[in-house]
Amino acid sequence: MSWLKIAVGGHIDHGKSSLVGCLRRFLQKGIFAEGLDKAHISDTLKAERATDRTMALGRSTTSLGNHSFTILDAPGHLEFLSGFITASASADLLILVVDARAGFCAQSLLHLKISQMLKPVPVLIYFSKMDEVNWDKSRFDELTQVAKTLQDSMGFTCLNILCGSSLSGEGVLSSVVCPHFASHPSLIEVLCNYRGEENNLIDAPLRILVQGNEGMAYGSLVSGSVQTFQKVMIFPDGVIDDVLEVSTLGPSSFWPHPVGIRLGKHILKRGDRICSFDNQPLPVKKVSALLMAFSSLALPLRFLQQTSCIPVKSLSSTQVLEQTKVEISFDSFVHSESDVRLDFLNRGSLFDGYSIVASLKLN
Amino acid sequence: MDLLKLESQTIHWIREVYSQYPRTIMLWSAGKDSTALLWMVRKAFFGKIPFPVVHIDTSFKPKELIQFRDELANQWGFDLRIFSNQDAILEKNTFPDHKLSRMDCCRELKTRPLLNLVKPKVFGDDRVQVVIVGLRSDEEGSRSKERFVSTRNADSLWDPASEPPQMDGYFPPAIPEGYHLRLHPILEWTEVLIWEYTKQENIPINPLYFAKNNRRYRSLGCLPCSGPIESGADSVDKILLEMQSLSLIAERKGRGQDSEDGGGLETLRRGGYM
Repeated sequence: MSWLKIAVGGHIDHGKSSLVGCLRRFLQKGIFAEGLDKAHISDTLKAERATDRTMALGRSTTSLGNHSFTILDAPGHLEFLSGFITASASADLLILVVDARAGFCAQSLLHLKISQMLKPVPVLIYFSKMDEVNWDKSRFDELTQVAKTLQDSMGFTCLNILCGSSLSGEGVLSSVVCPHFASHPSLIEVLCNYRGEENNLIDAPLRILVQGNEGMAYGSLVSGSVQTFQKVMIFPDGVIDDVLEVSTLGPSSFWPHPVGIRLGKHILKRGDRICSFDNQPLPVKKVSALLMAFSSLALPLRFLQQTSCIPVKSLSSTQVLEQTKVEISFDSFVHSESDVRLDFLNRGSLFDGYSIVASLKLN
Repeated sequence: MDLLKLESQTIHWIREVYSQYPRTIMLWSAGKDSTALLWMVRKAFFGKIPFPVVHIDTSFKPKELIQFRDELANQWGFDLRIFSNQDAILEKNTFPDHKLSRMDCCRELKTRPLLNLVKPKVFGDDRVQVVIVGLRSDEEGSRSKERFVSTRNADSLWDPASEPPQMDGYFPPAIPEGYHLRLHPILEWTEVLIWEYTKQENIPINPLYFAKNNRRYRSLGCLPCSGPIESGADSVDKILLEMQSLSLIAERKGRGQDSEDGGGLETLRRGGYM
C-alpha cells in the first residue's frame, strides 16, 4: 500500500486541470458524466466553470490497485497563489505542467521556486498539449534542455520528463504512439512505480514536539524512537527526566506520528521539545531565512523566538520579490527551526492577498 | 491505502487545534464519517472527548439515527449538545411542510443553528474559535475545494478562492476578531476508507447503513431529502464488497439539496453550511 500526495502546478492555462481531469476520469471510472469537460472535473465551483479558470485548490483522493493518490490541483493565476502554496507545503511530489507550445513561463518558474523552498520534493515535468505541436521531437528536446538548465541552477530532483496530451490521454494513461516517444513510460505508470523519498527518521536522534497535555502529554514524533525508562532532555527548560509511559498508534516512520508521553517528574506543556539525552540538538544564536513576498506593499516583518523578538527590515516589493536571504541573530539559543516563527509587525496593516513564503535554517 | 498514515494526520490536526484553541466544538451528525472522526478524537485524547459535541436536530432525521446518537453519547460519555431552529419547526416553516424550497429549508434548519452556536454566550462568554466538521473532499464538488483549515468571517461566509495559504499540519497563530475556523480533519479520507477504518476499529455504526428489505442508506440526512439505495449489504464486510460497484455512482446521489440550483451544496456552503 502506498499513498502519494501530488501537487499539480504550472502557468495559467498550461493544462493542469485538464491533466487532473484526465487522471481522475481514469481513476474514478464511471463517476463523471461523459460530456463533462475534463478541466471541469476538478474545477467544481460555479465561478470556475463560468470563467474556465481554476480559482481554488482542488483536492481528490483516488486509488489504483495498491496505490492511492491525493491530487492537489492548484490554480495558476498569481492572484490565487495561496492555493499553490498550500498544495506544495503538503505534497510528496510536484507535477509541473508546461504547455509545449508556450514553454516555461512566469508561474512555471515561480511554482518551482516556491515548491523547492517549502518542501523540496522531486519534480515530474510534463509537457502538455504535445498533439498541438504534432509530437515534434525537436520541441521536446528544446524544452528538456531548458528543464535541465533549471534543474542545474535550482538543484531540484527531477523524477522524469514526460510529454502527452490530456485530451486523448496519450502519454498520460498510455504510451505515446509517435515512435520518437515510444520508450517513454506513461505518466500513470511513473506515478504507480514511484515509491517516494526514503526517509530514515527512525534512525535519527529523538525529537518530539509537544502539542498539549490532557492528563498525558501529546505531541508528534519528528524523528527517532522513544521507549519507557529512556533518559531525555526537555527544551526550552533544559531539564533531564525519564520517560514513564508512551502511547503510540503503531509503528511508523512518517510525519506526523502522534505520540502520548508521560515523564517521571516534569509536567510537559505545549511548545516543549523532548530530545534524546545522548544526542542533544546543538544550540545556535543565528538563523538564516529565505523569504519571498507577494504584494504591492511593504510590510514590516519580525521573527519571534521564545525569549526575544527580532524585527527584520521591511520587505518592499513591487509584485513578486526575488528570494531574499536574511540573517537573524537572537540573544538566546535556538534549538530547532520550530523555535522561530515569522510574524507581521503590525497585523492591522495586513490585507487580503498578501502572502509570504519563508524557509528557515539554523546556521 | 495506509490507514495508519491517514489516522495519524487526522489525530495530529485534532490535537493541534484543541491545544491552540480550547474553545473548540465538533459537529456530529451520527453518520459514519463523523462517528469515525469522533472515534479518532477519543484516540487523540486517550479515551475522552475534551470538547462539546454538537448535533443539529432538524426534527426530520430518522428515529433510528436519534436513537443511535443518544445511545452512543451515553456509552462514550461525552458532552452532547443538541441545537435546532425551534421557531421554524414549530411554525412549520420547512420544506416537508411545503413552505420552503429544499435549499431554504437547509438554511433554516441546519445553517441557522450552526451560525447561532458560534456566537458569544453559547459556549462560555466568548465566541467559539473552531468548529470541527467531518466532511470529505470526495463527497461532493464544493467539498473538494475545502482546506483542512477553512476561515469563516463574522457572517460565517465561505470564499474558497481567497483562503490564506496553509502549512501542512499547522494552525494559524491567530483568528481575526469575529471569525471562526472550520477544521476538516478527515478531508482526504474516502468513503471506502471510512468503511475500512470502521471495520478495522470495530466502530459502532448507525443501523440505517445496513440493508433491510433490500434497501439501505448510503448517505444519511433528513428523511424527506434522503433516499435509500437498493442493496442487500447488511454488514460492513458486505458494504465494502458492494463499494466496488457503488464507487461508480456519486455517494450523495440520494441527497435532494445537492442537485438544486445547479450545484446547491456550493450555494449553501458559501452561506455557512457545513
